[in-house]
Amino acid sequence: MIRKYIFSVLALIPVFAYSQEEFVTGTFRGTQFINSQTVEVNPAKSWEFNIRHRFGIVGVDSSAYQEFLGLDLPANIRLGIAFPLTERLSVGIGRTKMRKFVDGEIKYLLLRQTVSNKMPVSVSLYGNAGIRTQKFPRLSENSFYADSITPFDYRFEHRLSYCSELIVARRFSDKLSMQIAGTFVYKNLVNPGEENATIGITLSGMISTGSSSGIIFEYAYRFNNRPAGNAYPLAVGWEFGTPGHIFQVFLCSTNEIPEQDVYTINSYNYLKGNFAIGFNIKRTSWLNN
Amino acid sequence: MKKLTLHIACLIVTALTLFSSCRKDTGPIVIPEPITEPISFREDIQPIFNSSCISCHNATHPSLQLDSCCSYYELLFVGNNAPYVDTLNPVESRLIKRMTGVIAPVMPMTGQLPQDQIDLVLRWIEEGAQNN
Repeated sequence: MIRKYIFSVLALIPVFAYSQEEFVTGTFRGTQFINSQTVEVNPAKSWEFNIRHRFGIVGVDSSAYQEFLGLDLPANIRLGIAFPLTERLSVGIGRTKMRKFVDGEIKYLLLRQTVSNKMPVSVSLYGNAGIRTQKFPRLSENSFYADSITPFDYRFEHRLSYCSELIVARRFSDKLSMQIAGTFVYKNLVNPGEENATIGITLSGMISTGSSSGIIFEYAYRFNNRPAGNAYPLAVGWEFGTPGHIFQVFLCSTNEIPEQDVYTINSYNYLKGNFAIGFNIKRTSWLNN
Repeated sequence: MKKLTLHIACLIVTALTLFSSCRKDTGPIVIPEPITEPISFREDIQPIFNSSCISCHNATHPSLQLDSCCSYYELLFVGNNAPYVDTLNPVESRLIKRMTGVIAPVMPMTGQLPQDQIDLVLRWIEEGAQNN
C-alpha cells in the first residue's frame, strides 16, 4: 500500500514539474531568508556570493550602549558561494567562523506555484552537510559516553551534522509571501540530555513595502530538544534589493548561522530583550552566454 | 524526463553518501574524582583561560585581559566590570554568569566550556578566589 502511494506521488512530479503552465516568480527575492532557506533556487547562468553576519548578543540594558548594540562584541560570519546546476537544482558551499564550520548544500525546486493556481504553492527540498573543523576542547580525565561506562574519545564522525528541509511557500499577492518549512537536523554528537535528531518548523514571511523592499520576519519552533523559556529563534527585519544585490538587516535572538546550529542551540530569550543585529548580503553575477 | 531521472539519482547518491557516516553519540560526561587539594589559580584556572580565552582576552582587549601576567588582578580589580568574582555568592559571579550564558553572550563565543571546567572555576571562587 505504502509502495503504491510512493509511486503515485513520484509519478505526479514530472507532471507538475514539466507542464507548460505559467509560473509565479519572485516569491522571495533571494535563496536565503534571515536564518533559513527560501523556496527559491539560484537562477540559471548565474552564481552567487553571499555573506551572513551576526554581531554579538546584547540586552535591553546598559550592555546595549556599552557594547554599541553588539558591534563591539565578537561576531559570527559565514561566507558562501552558490550556483545552479540546472534550472531547478542549485548547490553551494560556505564557511562559518564559529566552530570553523564548513558546509555544502543542495536545493531542488520540486514544484512551482502557477499563475492559474492549479499548483497553489512552490515546494523545495533542501539538504546540507557540515563539518566542524575547529579542534574539540581538551577532554577531561574520566570522560565517558552517556552510558557512564564507555570511555569517551572524539571521533571524526563527531564533527559531522546534517540538515534537511521541506519548504512550502506561496506568494499570496504582490504584497505578501509566506513560507513554512519542516526541518530535520541530525548531529552525530550531542550534549548529555539531548537527542541526536531535532525536528522543527519555521514560519517566514515578507510584506513588500515597495518594488524593491519589504519587511521580513521569521520564527522557528522545535518539537524536541526544546529550550527553556522562549529561547526559539525569532527575527524581524527589512530587506531591500538592487539589480544583482539583496540586503537584509534584522534583529534576531540568535547569532548562530548554520541551520544545524540555529535550530538546535538555544537562542537567547527575546522576551528578556536579548537580541543581535545581523545582516545578509547577496551578490548575484551573471555568466555570459 | 532524462534530466529528472538524473536529478533524482543525484539526490539519492548524495543522501546515501552523507548518511552513511551517521552516529548516535552523546557525551562527554565527566565523572569527577574526589578532590582533596585546594584549587590553584595558577595551575588549575589559568590554563583554562590560556586554552579558551586569551585569543580574544589579551592585551588588545578593551575591557578584560586574561593573560597569565595579569588575569587575577583584572578579574578582581582592574577589568571594566571588576570584580568578576563574588566570593559571598559564587554562582552570581559575573565570570560564572558569562561562562554559563546567564549573561549573554556565553563565553567563550565558540561554545560553552565543558561543565567540569566551569565547576572548577566555581570551586575556586567558593574557596575564596585565592591568588595561589
